[in-house]
Amino acid sequence: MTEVIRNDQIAKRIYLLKIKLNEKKVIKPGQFFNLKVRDGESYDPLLRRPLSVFDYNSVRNEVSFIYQIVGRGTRILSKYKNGDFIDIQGPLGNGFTLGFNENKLVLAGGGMGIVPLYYLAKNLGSDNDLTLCLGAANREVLKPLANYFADLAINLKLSTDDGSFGSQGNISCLLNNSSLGNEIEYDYLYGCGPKPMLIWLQTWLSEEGIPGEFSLEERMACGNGLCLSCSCKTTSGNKRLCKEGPVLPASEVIING
Amino acid sequence: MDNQVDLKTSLGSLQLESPVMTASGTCGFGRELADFYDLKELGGLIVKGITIDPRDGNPTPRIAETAAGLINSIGLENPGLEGFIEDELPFIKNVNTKVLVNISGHSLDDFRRLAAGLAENDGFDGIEVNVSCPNIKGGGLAFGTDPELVYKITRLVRKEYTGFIMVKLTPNVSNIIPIANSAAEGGADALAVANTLPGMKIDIDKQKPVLATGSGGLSGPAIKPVALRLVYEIAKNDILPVLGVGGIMAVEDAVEYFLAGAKAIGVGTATLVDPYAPIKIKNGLRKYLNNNNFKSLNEIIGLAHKEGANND
Repeated sequence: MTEVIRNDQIAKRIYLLKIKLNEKKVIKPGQFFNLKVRDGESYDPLLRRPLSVFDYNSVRNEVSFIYQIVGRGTRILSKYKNGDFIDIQGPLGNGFTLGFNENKLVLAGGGMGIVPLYYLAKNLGSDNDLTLCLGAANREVLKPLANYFADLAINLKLSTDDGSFGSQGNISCLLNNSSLGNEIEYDYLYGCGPKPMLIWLQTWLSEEGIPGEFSLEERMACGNGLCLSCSCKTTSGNKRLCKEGPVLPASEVIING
Repeated sequence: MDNQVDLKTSLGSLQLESPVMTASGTCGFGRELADFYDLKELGGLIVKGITIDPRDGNPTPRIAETAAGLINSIGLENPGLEGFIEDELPFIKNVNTKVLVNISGHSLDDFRRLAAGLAENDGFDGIEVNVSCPNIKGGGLAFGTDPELVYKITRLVRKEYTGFIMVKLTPNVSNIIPIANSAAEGGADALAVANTLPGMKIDIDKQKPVLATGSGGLSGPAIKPVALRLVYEIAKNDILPVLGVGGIMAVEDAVEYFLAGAKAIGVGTATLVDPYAPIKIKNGLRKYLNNNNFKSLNEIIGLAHKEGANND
């Protein structure tokens, strides 16, 4: 069991959860933890909840998550208080590819898909040129998330569906940046977000001839590769998002497979 | 803690060092759990169901959570008989505990071919026959609901394979006794009781079923009373040794199954929540036996029948 040291609401239905780990871990950006939320001793809810790592402070040994209340599990999670204990498993999954040097990298996040990009941006070498394209439904969701990125030396581009924060539109208008007057030839893209966004990104990457990778989401049970719930079709066969994923090469993923 | 308690048990001809097995579909082919503990800690491993040809499985979402339960519709994603023999069996050969290979067919001939294909190989300890899959020629009804088909499948597998055969029964029948008898007459050594129950969950925001396939198989604590009663009924009729499977999350659940007459138990959904669940249950069992002054697991198997129920 690990101790909750913070679980605060940062926007409507969105929370930041910080947990003190019992032992030092090596945590890669893009990895996730599987959390067991409980109502007392009940078996309900039964399964763990996978949450991707938002940030990890290896000195203080604290891992943070940002999650949105979407159902019973996350609603119960939102009621955990400082000093409560929670059963977590992780880090799990493969994580993002690191190790680029002097590259023009673009990180594209949509909605809660923005979350894993923060720890990624912090871990990409500072000799890279980073562009962050973040989009969400509205100001209420995007502003608190985007604020975290302000202290990172990166080129930050924001958009909302309703134009209430940043430019109006979606990720496509941020990447099709000729309208912004400074066309960047990216070397590599990291993407995380809803399926329509990833479908658009996949086409765009293929047209532009840019390699990249996506962090993907699927209903998950065990997180350890046992149950095959989170199977994702790819051009090289089925991959378990909890084991071979959640990060897979953008060109291989069959998004609505 | 007194470690003298004897946990040895058997399912007919299959001798087990301890009674906790992992249920098919919840332990892969063993590799993943081997990252957590030595597999010899388990009484046995019943590996992922295989079919004649490789299967990609069903579209996602493949799972839905319900009250203390899990509905799955994985769709038997597996590498097929040949893929299993080439890629998984070499690993299984080196596993230092009993391993049963689960087979699933969509026709009688599928079962015959699977048994024949496995019989040519060694490195595993028996076959678990899944009769809960739909019979394509029979209009999609599960084989396991028809005593005659269960007899035929078991007979076909027995003709091809001389080793240990356990038939995994579906709970989705009005009377399980004739089905259990059919498996016995067909030549099974043991019965796994039971499989998942058909179930569904509907997303009220999207106004459609959660699972891509609409419905799936319900497992977990929600089904324990159902499977437990089936084990009790079969044990009462003394048909074949029974592996009790269904919603075993903790040692208390396991003890109930033993008292009902199960010779061994399968842990499934619990392993998906906690990979150590089977080990914790095994250790808890030792403690339970000790605390209650039993010297061996055997002493409690079927004990609930001694006093029985009023109308037994």
